[in-house]
Amino acid sequence: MLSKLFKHEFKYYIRIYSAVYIIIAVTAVLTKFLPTLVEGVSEESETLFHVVIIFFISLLIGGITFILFGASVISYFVGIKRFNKSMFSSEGYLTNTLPVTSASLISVKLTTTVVFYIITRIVCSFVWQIVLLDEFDFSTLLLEFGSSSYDSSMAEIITDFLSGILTYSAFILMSYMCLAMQSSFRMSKFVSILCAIGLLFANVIALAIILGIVSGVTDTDILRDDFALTENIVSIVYYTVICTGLFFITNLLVSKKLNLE
Amino acid sequence: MSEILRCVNLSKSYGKNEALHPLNLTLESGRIIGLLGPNGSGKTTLIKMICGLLTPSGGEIYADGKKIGPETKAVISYLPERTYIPEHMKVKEIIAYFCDFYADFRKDVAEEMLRKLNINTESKIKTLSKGTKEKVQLILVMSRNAKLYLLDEPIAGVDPAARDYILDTIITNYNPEASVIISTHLIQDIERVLDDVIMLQYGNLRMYGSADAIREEKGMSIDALFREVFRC
Repeated sequence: MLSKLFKHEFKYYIRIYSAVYIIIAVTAVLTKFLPTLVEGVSEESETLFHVVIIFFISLLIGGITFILFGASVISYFVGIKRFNKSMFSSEGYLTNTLPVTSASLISVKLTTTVVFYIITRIVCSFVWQIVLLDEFDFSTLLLEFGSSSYDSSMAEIITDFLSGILTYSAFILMSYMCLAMQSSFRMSKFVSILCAIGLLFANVIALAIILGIVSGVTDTDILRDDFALTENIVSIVYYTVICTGLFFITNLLVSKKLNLE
Repeated sequence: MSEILRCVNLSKSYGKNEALHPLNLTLESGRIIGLLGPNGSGKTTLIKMICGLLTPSGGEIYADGKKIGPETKAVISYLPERTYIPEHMKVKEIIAYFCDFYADFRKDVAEEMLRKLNINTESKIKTLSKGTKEKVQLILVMSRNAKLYLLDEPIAGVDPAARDYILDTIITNYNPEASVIISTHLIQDIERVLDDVIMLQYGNLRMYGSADAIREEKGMSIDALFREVFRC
């Protein structure tokens, strides 16, 4: 059953994201090749056609920059909207009457959301590098998901990548949990959003406290570069625990407290 | 006949509002049961709890001898009172969806019924009229070889000709060894097919018995009895 859930979930996401990727690809290609139409044209020989092209190029550069940097935000909202619609709206009457466990439903939706987040970031990084910068570096793809730099070791880059994915997963699960609470306890959307934001801040503060303690115990300055690997490992452990707890609570709410309108 | 559904002290509250008072009910297989009652009597609440869409406040439900969960969902075929199939899907895609998740789904039966109604399987759900969507949903539900069919207001909001079609589809396609629970307040149209009747009022069980026995005892049709019992 799990494979069938994945199949249908992937089909849905491919339908949504293929349109997004086509828009990114077309915009990137136009941004790269349109300037060749106005290359070498001086101010004196400029025509209305050239002015329009330059204006259009400016719009495209602004648009593609927005899309590439906003891809994470777009991915988040697509994932949350999908979860809410398929679990707690009219479609929930179909989803929640399938002969599958709620844990299967939640894990499939979470996994698919995270996979497409990763794919989207890779596509955006690829477009940015190949199409717009004319260069490609594999480690830059991994750097997309964390805060490492080119000077970081491969261990730091990989742990940073894993930490970034787990952080995103935790954020998604926080939102899932708040949506489940909204449905189970008939909370207003405003209260549900406040809960999600509150949880997010609480987690950031908790992790900062834990890192401070670890820094004190290991007698390492938290701002030093050699603390980065430790920070990543602590973050991985922390968010693994948080994700497990959030998943457990969300599953409990959906399986034991479902109140579909 | 075996037991298909058992409710033990089943209740549902929303805060101080008791939508369903403690209900004890046992239903046998192979029966068509009318779940009757005025608006707000608890019919949909009861059905949704059997499907696992609402968590009971108290009591237990057993379908086919098991507690409500994935195993019972595999043998219960549910038609809600609203459109619940994803609008972005095509008719053929939702058929494939049902084939994937329900081992008892009869694809040939569904396709034959769609063909008879001239519903193009390449059509997107969102392009269909409300009545056609309801018919597609009904076809999907009745194409399953389930042990328990739960139909929530299947004939509300449709024209009289469509009501006859829906009732004929139910009678023709359901598994005769299964039970069908039809929730409605349009009793006149449905009375002819009912074996048993459950009447709810304000979340309480008012009456439960064989339709023939009730008609003989009361000397009137179920519709007339309903109008008398639930007179405003």
